[in-house]
Amino acid sequence: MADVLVVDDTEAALDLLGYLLRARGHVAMLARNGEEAVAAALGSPPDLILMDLHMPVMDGYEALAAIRGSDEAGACPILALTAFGEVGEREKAVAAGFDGFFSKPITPETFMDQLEAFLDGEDRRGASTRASSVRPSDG
Amino acid sequence: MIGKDVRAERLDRLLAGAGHSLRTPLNSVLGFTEVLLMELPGSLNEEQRRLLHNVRSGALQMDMTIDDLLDLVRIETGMMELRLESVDIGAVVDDVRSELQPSADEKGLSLEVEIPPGMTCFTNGRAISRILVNLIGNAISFTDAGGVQILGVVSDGVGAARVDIIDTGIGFPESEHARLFEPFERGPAPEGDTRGGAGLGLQVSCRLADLLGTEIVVQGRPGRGSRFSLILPRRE
Repeated sequence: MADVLVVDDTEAALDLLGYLLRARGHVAMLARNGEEAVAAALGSPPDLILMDLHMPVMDGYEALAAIRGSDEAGACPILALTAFGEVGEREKAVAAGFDGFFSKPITPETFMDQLEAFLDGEDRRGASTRASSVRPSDG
Repeated sequence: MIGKDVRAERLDRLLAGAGHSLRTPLNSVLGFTEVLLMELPGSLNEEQRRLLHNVRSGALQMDMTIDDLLDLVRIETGMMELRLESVDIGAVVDDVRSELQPSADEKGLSLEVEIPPGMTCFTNGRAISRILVNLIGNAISFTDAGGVQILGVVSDGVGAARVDIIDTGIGFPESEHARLFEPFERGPAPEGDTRGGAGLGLQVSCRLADLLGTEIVVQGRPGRGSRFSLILPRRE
């Protein structure tokens, strides 16, 4: 069981991820923009963050930088989840330091399997030795 | 006068925005359909399940059309750049296979893969993957019994290799070869066959093959299946 912070400006996307995470016994924390995400991550550091990239108020890239720069949640793995599925966006996210990249629409079962494999990997390696490379995703 | 670069940049932003606006609602359609099929909110009867499968297959088709359409516009306007690199064909085929295995399973079709170990080609992995997803996906949709074979063939001395996708599907007459690569076309439908066109998949595949400096060779006979061969250069 893991605490997962889901950040997305689309209500339906939050609802969907909340459903899928709870169905697998995880706890879903929800944030609607980057600013809310930073506050939530620093206030109660989650095991994993799923971050939309383009959001109002503060986008996913700024939120990533703010969380990475914090003492509280600096080591938390952060995965990008976006409807901008183009190759350029993936490269930009990788360069910015996201730990993984997933594009919408997701295939729920496959997506949850990949997410849990990521959580398992993190457990084994421990947060202090977190890999900085990006895993392959479903594209 | 607007410069060419400015126009290209505007078009790029327009396509990315359109893709985002289409995929966001599609993520809800596909995601919640799956949530219902997983019976998370409650159990389904057989009829409800059958109808939701229809929703899902329609949404998946739309997803593929969005990707194809955006890629096709990028290709036709010269915005698609493909970097050539050494590509492990076996690894690409494995990924494509795991993506398509569920649709083969759903139709009770076999999906056999035989790629010689160490088959590498100098090409672009993502483009090859797109082409194979389209060709194998089409083979699955136009086959009702039997299965699909994916064979890697390395020819001696010629400096070329190829991947054959062979199905036991409805096939098509030779006179239809050219039409297969036109947008939204398909071969002539046997009586009672209500499958739609192959969409834009073959056209995207063909244009990607052009960009890679290679081609797709087609053979088929009505009622006797078809074979699509993707020719691959082995070295720079």
